[in-house]
Amino acid sequence: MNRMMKQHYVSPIRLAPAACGLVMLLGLTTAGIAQQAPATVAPVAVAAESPNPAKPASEGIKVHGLWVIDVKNPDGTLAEHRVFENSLQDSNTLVGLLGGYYVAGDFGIRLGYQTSPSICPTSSCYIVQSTTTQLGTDVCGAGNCQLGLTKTVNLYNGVGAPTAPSLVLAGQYTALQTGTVGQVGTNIGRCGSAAGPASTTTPSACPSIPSGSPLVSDYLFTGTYITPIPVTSGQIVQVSVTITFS
Amino acid sequence: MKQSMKQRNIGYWMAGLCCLAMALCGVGSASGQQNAATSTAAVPAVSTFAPTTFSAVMPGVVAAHPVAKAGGEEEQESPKPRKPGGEGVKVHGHWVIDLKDTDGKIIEHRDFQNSLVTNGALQGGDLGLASVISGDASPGGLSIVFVNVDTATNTDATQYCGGIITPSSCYGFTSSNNIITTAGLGFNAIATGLTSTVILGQAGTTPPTSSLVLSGNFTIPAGLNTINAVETYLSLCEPTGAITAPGFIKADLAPNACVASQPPNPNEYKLAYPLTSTTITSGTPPAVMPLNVTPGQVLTVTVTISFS
Repeated sequence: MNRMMKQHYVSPIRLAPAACGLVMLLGLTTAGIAQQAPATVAPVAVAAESPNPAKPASEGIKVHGLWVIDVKNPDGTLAEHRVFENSLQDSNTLVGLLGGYYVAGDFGIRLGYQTSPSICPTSSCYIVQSTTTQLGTDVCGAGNCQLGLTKTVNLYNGVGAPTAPSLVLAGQYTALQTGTVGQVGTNIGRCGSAAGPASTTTPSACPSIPSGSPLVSDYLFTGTYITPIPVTSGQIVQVSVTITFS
Repeated sequence: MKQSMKQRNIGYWMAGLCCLAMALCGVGSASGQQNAATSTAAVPAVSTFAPTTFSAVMPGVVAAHPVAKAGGEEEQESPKPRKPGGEGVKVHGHWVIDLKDTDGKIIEHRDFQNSLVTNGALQGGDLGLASVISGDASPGGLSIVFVNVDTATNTDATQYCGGIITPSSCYGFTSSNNIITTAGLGFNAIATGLTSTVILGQAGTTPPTSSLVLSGNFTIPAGLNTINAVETYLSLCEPTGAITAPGFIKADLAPNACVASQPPNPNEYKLAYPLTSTTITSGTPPAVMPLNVTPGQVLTVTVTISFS
């Protein structure tokens, strides 16, 4: 419950639309152009407290994916700890999402091997939000999926100093067999068509579209190879992926 | 907790004001979304991974992407990660601007890179990206904004067009199907005619073949004499329920409905954030050099946003 409340409280734009109302009303009285303003809302100040200035110019924008993996023994002791960055694997998804061709469905964390065997009966093991909705319906089978993936969206709510928005995926996987984790990734389900035009599917409805529909697909969003982590059957692989932008 | 509740209550109250303001302001803009389609030939990249054919084009948006595999839109199974030990993902924004005189002669040429708008007092591109990727919001189109503001003393790009920095002026350039089609808060004027091209290329390749290309000819309007900075704007639709319901709520308006819903849907907020921004520069290494313009001149602009 605390977590839910926190997610709500720190959530996005939450205060922005609210604050915009006030600004829009002010605009109505102070500027003629506001009379013609559509529902579009320009960004609004929400507690502008000594922000770090955005850089006016630079060379590129980074989307970071910070991974933290802890392998724990059944008794809770730590067997292995890894921290590393991943890479974007599919620029199509980002472009398609921004362009409106796709909407985002659910996420999954993928734990795969470089050299067989993996820690589950198939080559790729997944931590998913659901096995009955996409992307679980796309990638799960033969017992390779485990539930419990959480997705936390942290967006600056205008209170206090600005914080970097982030998308945090977290979960754990209990090894079903002794193997290694040598490649990891985040998978994203998506709805829409690469043919465009703008997707007619809502993000809220996307996960429920049956697998096999031409409008749904899942993709490896970010990922990387890592020095293989040996995991014995019964050990717990705890994973956290924090995606940020700068 | 008490403070949180108080802040939330204020948020509800202000949200109500917002809805009222939106209802009052949005009625007159219905015609802005009903435009004929603009179709342009695509330049597909070859792909063995992210297949598909395409033909559909939405107004102001041109699709371009590779050819499909048989039997499905795109390959379902994900590939193996391509980079061992990646360092992050870069989002590039490459601007090419040609300023043309009324006789079509090029007066000035500029070529520069922009950056993601982050860490500002207002919402910026990092928040927009996170919202779209997480499904918290649906995209409502991209726009270009030409800004005249003192960038030397005002470095927070999130505030350029919010009416907070004075004096400043912002002139928007957008496609006819963007939710920003009428001059309003933060914009002195908005012109249409921008083409947004979605190029979906081969997934998992380096360099990336996927990009968003914004291009068009922008006629300098009266009142705009100097351009110090440029921005791309990302429009979004977000459900009002995301404010009141606990936990995470996904957007319940599809992108096509986001750009088309006029008059405004009372259950949706329509937002616009500066996605990328940069001061106008010239030379190597880049030096800040505002672009002086005269009404009637034409800016031929191309912005290519890509990821790697």
